[in-house]
Amino acid sequence: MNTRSSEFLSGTFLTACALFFWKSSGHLHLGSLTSMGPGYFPRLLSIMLGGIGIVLVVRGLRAGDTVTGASISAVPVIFATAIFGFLIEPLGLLVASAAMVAIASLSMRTTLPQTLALSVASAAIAGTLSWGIGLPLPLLPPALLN
Amino acid sequence: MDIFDGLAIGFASALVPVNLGLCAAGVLTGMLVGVLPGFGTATAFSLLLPMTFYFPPTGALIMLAGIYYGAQYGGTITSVLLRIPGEVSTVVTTIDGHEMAKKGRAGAALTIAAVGSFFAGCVSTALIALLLTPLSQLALKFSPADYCSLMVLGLTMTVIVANGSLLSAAGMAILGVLTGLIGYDLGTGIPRFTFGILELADGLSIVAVVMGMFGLTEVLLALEERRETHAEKLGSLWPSKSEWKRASGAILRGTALGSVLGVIPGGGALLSSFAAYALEKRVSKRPQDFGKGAVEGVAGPESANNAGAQTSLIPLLAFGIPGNVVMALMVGALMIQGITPGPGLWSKHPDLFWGFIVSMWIGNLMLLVLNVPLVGIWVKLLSVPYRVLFPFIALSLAFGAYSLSNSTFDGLVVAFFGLFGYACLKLKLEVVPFVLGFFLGPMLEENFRRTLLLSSGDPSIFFTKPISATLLCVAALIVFFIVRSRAR
Repeated sequence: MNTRSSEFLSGTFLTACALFFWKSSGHLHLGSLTSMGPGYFPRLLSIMLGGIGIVLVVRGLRAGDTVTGASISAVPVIFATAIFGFLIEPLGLLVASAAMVAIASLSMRTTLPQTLALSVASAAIAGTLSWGIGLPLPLLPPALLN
Repeated sequence: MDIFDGLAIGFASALVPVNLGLCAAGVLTGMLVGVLPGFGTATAFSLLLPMTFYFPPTGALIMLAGIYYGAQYGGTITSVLLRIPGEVSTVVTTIDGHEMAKKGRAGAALTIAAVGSFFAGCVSTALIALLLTPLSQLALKFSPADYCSLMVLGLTMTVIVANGSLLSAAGMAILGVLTGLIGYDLGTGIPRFTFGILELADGLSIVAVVMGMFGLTEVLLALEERRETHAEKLGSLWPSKSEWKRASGAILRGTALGSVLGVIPGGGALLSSFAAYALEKRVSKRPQDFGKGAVEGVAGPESANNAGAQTSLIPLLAFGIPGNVVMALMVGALMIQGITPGPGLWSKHPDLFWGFIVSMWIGNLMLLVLNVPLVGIWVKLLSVPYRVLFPFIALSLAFGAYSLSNSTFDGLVVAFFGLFGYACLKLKLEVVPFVLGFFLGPMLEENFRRTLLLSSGDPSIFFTKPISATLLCVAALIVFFIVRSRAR
């Protein structure tokens, strides 16, 4: 039994998604084929997806390749991307860009001077871009300006 | 209104100096963004889309066309020089294109790609101009059942192109549809899968989803592979006589193939380029050259890719159904300008419509003209090491997502889908069917509902309506043949 095969894992994933959508549509009115309620289509699709998922799981258990994983080094980049938007308002675009790039470069093997240079450069580029396109984003931290 | 009137109107509105300037600006910025590894046409398009809001519709459309071509070509540059597909549809170009680069023929590869694309663009623009009127008339005859079947055919085609298991690709298409249903159900006004999150009321932003799944995923992939950069030497820019000779046949074949496949929703550039590569390999007198720098392996797919991309405008303009991700973004762009693509477009806004067609052609020409002096610069840009480049890319993605609708939530969406896309890649799940399913989801449901309402719950209507029946049969036949050839 190969539980690290891509088919097994992808099948499990798809089945899990199917279950998720199934459960989340539980409260929706089904209606009939003639007048479909909001729950009809999602439930129909969830069943189909679940079916496919199960077939893949079964197939995957029998054979298949092994999946290689990712490392924890991916986390800073993802984190930085996620929070960037939230940083703009309190910190202003320039600082937010610099901070975001600094955090993201934790994912790569940059040295400290490189990181600093990157942060400054990206702040400059982001600022120019924003100003050039005419985006109404605060460049400097509002706290400083008050 | 006949074609020549239309083209006249188009050229009149497009050839204003301001618009030409916008086109050039679009091409340049498109190339600048598209050439960055990890930035495909979809990403470049979404990032640069907000720029066009500030211009009147015709100017904005022309700029969009420029951006589109610039970004496509930027993707080609990355594919040839770095062996990284800068854009989904240039995946095939990486195979022989990069081999040519290793032999010092990068300039030749890039030039042939540009010329081939231009030729294909001319032919397919003509096709759009010629076929759109008859197709639009046909579109008005489409009933909800026919639309449904058309969308199913489109999804089927994206599933077929899948590298891995057809079943998992089908699963991804369905998952995409389900994800597309997140938000308020327009038919009944009931929120679905929103869990009380206000930002989800309108559903997920396709731009954020695409930026995550194509842009951020690329970053994660590069991280895992611990990529560095190495740009190749350019050599002379001009292809040799024999290269031209071999390429010309490939260009013609690629154009034909792309023009046909592009019209089918779900077909478009990606499918065309793969099909062209396969075709070239089969008809070549020297198949052993493929994979080692055969110029046909660049010329054919690049032409097909462009022809397919152009003709995929036909279902978009005629039916309002995007054939692929970039077209989906194009719909968004058009709608923001107040234009709803669909059967009525060309009659209600002929100047916009023809202006758009013409500007696609101008964008194509502009690309060819600007390409020659600029390639050298792009290469320098690409020799920046990844560890410097990628924080910028991540910033760009996050910034673009945020700036599109001033939404901090979209940054989360990008991050989430970056992870999602990466997981899918690891699990060998296809992302293309997912994205098309995502976009078509709400439309599919609406038409499905209407069909059954009109037929009083009788599902056989899908087979009794002639258009619908034909489309479903085509889909079934394609599936049958592909499954059979795979089983061998």
